[in-house]
This record gives sequence, C-alpha cells and structure tokens, in this order.
Amino acid sequence: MTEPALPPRPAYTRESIVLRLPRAVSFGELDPEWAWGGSTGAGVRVAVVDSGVEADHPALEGSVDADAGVAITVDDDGNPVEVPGAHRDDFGHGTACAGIIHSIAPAARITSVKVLGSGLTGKAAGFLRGLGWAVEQGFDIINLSLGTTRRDWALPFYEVCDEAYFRGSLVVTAANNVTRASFPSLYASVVSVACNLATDPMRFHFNPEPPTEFLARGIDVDLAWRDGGRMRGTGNSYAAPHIAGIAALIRSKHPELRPFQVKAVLWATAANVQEAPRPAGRLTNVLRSATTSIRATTALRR
Amino acid sequence: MAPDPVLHALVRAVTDVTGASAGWLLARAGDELEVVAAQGSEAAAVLGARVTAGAGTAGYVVASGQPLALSGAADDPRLAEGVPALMGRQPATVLCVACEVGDDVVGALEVIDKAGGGAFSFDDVELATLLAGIAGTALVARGASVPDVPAPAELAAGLHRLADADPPQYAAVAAALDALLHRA
Repeated sequence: MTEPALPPRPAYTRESIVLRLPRAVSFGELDPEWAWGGSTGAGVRVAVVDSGVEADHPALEGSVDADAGVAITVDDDGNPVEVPGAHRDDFGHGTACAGIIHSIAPAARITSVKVLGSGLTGKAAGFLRGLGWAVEQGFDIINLSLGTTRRDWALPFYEVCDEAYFRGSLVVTAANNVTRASFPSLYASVVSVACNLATDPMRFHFNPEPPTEFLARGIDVDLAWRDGGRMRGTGNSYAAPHIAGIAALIRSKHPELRPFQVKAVLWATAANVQEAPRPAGRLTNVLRSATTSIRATTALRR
Repeated sequence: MAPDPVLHALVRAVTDVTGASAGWLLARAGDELEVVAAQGSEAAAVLGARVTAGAGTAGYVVASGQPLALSGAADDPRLAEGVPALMGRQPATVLCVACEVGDDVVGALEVIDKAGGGAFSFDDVELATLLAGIAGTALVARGASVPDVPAPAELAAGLHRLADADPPQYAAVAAALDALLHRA
C-alpha cells in the first residue's frame, strides 16, 4: 500500500485568514436556520467510540443509554471480545466527548462503545471492532475522537468506514493533533475534524485543504470528565464531537439525508462558506434551471 | 538509577519550551510506566518510580496515543494521579503526549503547571509531541522501553492483513520471517 499523502498544513489552522475563502457558491436557502433551526437532535442515535461514558454524569442529563452500550476487550490472542451492557469510563475522555454532543444536541440519545481502558493499550483490533459494532447497530452518527497510526490496520478501517457510509451512518473523526497519518481520519467516507480558534461551539469552518475537511471548537473547552466533575481541555478530540453534535441536529431535522448529503450541508453552513463573497449567479439558480428542465423532459415523456 | 543525560536533556527541553514547572519521561514497562528522567525540584524523588499504565492522564495517552492538555480546579485530585501524587504535587495544569516509535507507543512525556497559571496551548502540544518522538527513539535505543511484542495469533492476523493489502510487501516480510524462523 502506498503511503497516504499528508495534509499540507498541520491539522490545527493557526491563521484565521486561511479560513477566509475568496468566494463560495451558494446553495440558496441552505443556511444554518434551514439545516438545524429548532432541532434538538430528537430521534437521533449517536455512538461514542472511546474510553467509555459515565452515564450518570450530571452534565449528560440522562441522555446515555447505558445498558445498550458495549465494551470491547481483547483476548490474549489479539481477538476482540464484546461485553454488552453498562460500563465505566476509565479516563474521562469519552465522557468529555459525550458531554459536548449532549450540549449541542440535548435530545439525541448517546450510546457508549468502550474501546479504551485498562489492558487495551494499543489494541487496534478492539478499536476496529468497536467501530464495526457501531456500524452494525445502525447509529446515525458515530463519533471517533481516536485514531490509529498503524498502517497495517488502514485497509480494515477503510472497509468499515465505507460500510458505515453505505449503510447511512455518519462517522465523525478527530484528525491527528500533529501532521501524521492517522486512520480512519484520512478517508473520504468520514468527516475529519480539527480545531479552529472559535469560542462559539456552533461556529465551525470548512477547511479547503483535505483530508481534514472541517474545523470546530477544540481549544480550552469546558468538558464533562469522569467522577462527575469537569475539566478544561485542548485538542482535536474535542473538535470532532462539536461537529458530531451539529450533524445530530441536522439529521434530526432532515432524517432523509445520507452521509454525503450531511457533509454537503455542513460545508454549506460552515461559517467561512456562509461569510464568503458570492460569485455572480447562484448554484441554486443552476439547480432550479436543471430541475425545471428535468420536469419538462419528464412531462414530455408522459 | 543513574539519570540518562540524553533523556534528561529532552525532559528539560520540553519543560523549558512549554513553560512548565516540572516534567518527566515515562517508559512502558509491561502494565506499568517507569519514570526514567525527570526535571524539577522533586525530580530525584520519582526517578525509577512506577505507576500503573491503566489509569490517569498518562494511562490514557499511552492507551490511545492521543495527547491530553488539561486544566482543572486547583485541588482536582484527578490531575494528581500518577507521578504528581508520588511527588506530593497537586498540579493545576497537565500536558501529556505519547512517545511513538513507528506505530508503537513506548512511553509518555508529561509536564505540569505552566508558568503564569495559564493552560497549555496547542503550540505546547505540538512542541511536546515533536520532542516526544525523539524521546521515544531514545528510549528504545537505550533499552529503556521496548515496543509491544504481538502474540503469535496477533502476528499471524497482521500477516493475513498485509497479504491482502500489499502482496509484494507481504512477500518480502514473509521471506525475511521464514529465514529468521529457520535460522532460529
């Protein structure tokens, strides 16, 4: 397998000027109000693949389906083993991600897929199985604030992310915090997220330099942490659940959207796309014209 | 345990560039992490000490490979887990990054209490990660840490994946392994 190309810039974009797009086509009425206005995330199921989630944490306000979760362990031969049911968060990181998602999409239901904990050090097999389990369960959104740098696992992750894409699960991943290949954040089938400089949790940007396509809040974030407490943290780990939460709002309001369409809505509603100068003519007009033409053609065929 | 000058210099460098008041380098030793270099007034007290790899800030970093930059209340005991507790310190801010060699995490580089009381920044994360990569290589070169050795079944599964993903590379690896096995 050839080595995947690295992003041309660090995942964290320091200069906000980079985020100012010279121009952007418009999808007309496709703005944040259309995308998620009035949405609470109701009806959307989100899986958090991480270190576990502290279901009774006060910040999560009962949004976690604890008994529906699963903890993945790895046996002595390296084979993953599923342990269904409630579990704890050994570190606090999964609770932090769940807390961000809940703060944005309070009515979304969260399920923990625990792949990190004591004895799980570096076990990509467990991580992959956890992601695969979430895909099989048909979650609307899967948040992965984790990744593996092991290239021998690149293909299995590629396959399971494609499976998620085709089944309709939107996988949101955190980009590596340094310029280094990390799977599955490099794949087109996922939404890869790094930090921006925003303090507003709903202010996110489109990054025109893939594979990291979106930037969201991840610096000095107030986080729910284990043992019912809070912590402040910095990292791409916390940017991904911001996008996962916003995607949950979108899917709640527009449940018919497929993952690629949700990604397009995210692009259209990104702050720098909304704020960019518009070129003459709008894509909407082109689309309307095309739609009219198709209708006319269909009418002629009838 | 005599401090290794190179490892010590790396810890001193990361402590200085991030503006931390203390820092240490942890090497993986089975299910534990061993302090192999330390910088700060209490450094001598923790050199050679071991903490569990399954919990706390360093535990998460070693398990996930992801950095953690955290700040909490001045008396938050969760930030003191691991080496700070051994030092009798209660940090207000912690930055911990993984020491990676190839695809393996062989240790962790941790600093605490940024000067001025502020939180560690994303720049600090990047600088520490850069130095942690060098520290990882130094750890392995000095025999202070060895990457995880896969179980036979895990190794076999890895070979299967490689055979599917990259047959030419599999052929090269398989030939080398075969030769080594027969020599053994």
